Amino acid sequence: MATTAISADTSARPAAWPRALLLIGRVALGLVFVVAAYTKLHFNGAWHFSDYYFFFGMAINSYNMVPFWAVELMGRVLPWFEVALGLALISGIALRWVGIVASVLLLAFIGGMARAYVLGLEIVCGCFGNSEKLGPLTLARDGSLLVLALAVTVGAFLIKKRAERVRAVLAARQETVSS
Amino acid sequence: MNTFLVRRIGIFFLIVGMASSLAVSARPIPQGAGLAAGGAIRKGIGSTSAPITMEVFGDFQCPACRSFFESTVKQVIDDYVVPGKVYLVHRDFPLEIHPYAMQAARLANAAAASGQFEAIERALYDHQEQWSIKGNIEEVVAGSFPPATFKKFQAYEAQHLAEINASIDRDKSLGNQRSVNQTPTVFVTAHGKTEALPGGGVDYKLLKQYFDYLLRQ
Repeated sequence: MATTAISADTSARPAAWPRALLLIGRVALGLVFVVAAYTKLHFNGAWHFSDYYFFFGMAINSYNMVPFWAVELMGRVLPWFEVALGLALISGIALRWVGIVASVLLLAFIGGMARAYVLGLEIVCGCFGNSEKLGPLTLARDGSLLVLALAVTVGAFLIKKRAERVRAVLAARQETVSS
Repeated sequence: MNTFLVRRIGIFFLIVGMASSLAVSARPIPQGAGLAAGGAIRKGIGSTSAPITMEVFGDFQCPACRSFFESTVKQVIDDYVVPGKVYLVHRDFPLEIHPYAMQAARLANAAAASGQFEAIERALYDHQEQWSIKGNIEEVVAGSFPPATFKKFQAYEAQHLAEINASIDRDKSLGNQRSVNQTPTVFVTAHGKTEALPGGGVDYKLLKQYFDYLLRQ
């Protein structure tokens, strides 16, 4: 009876398309993060490694959400964090946890943007460079990115779970065969 | 006794003279305002030879511009323009959503032609809430100037309307050329490079850090 169940389960080998979809999703999301970081470090026609944090700090500060010390810290750290996050997504390292971090980060961005929009603040988004005005389009775009990040995270968990299940089934079958 | 008195009077005038010269040097000299070569109206405050030039594309009726002027620009004038570190330039970018912005810009240009740009800018922003409802700009702002001076602005505006409109249009074209899409938008030029700061105004503390960084370079 147990043997029948095992064979039924393994006969449905994991399809390739969920993995392909996950690959496309995580690479696309990773590239978005890398591009977002690039626009914070390269603007007005030049690289700004030595002074990018002034400009990004000004964009963060316009949201009137975080204290000055946090503005300075975020201005310096966030672009490099986005680079690291983007590269981790593209490479697929610790995808489930990186996916959670990306989702939380995007959720925080959207929360801040929605608050600023509701308060009627006429500010730049700060998402991709310093010239993009905050509005419904930027909210919709970041909302779509959040959906993508959540899909990547859920997909990574499901695929991992499925892989573990298949591994367990194969181990059980091996055990049955050897006994 | 007479010698003593004369000496005392001399010391008194010496002290008064020194104090007044200090008071004069503590105020910005609007060297950039007035008429430039070729008759163009310049709306600058401070020394044109300052190491940093800060251009503000603004609309006198825009509340964000008022807030930026009150919280940031005034401090920039005191801390950087007066000591000759920053040359502050106003660029007109009146938005169509503000029905009296163009009228205010015309008056500001007329005052700038008389070398009174700093005073008219302060008057327009300080009283923005009063005139932006009905558009009674001249009635509200006139109180900030001696009557003769204000009449001079009005006369200049009436006589040089085409020139003033052309000056505003030139600023607007420059703004469009630089992709200005909101007011206030600030451009900072230093060491031969012009950088656009994030639109919507900048906090003074951050701007101060940036200026100090540029001055250290």
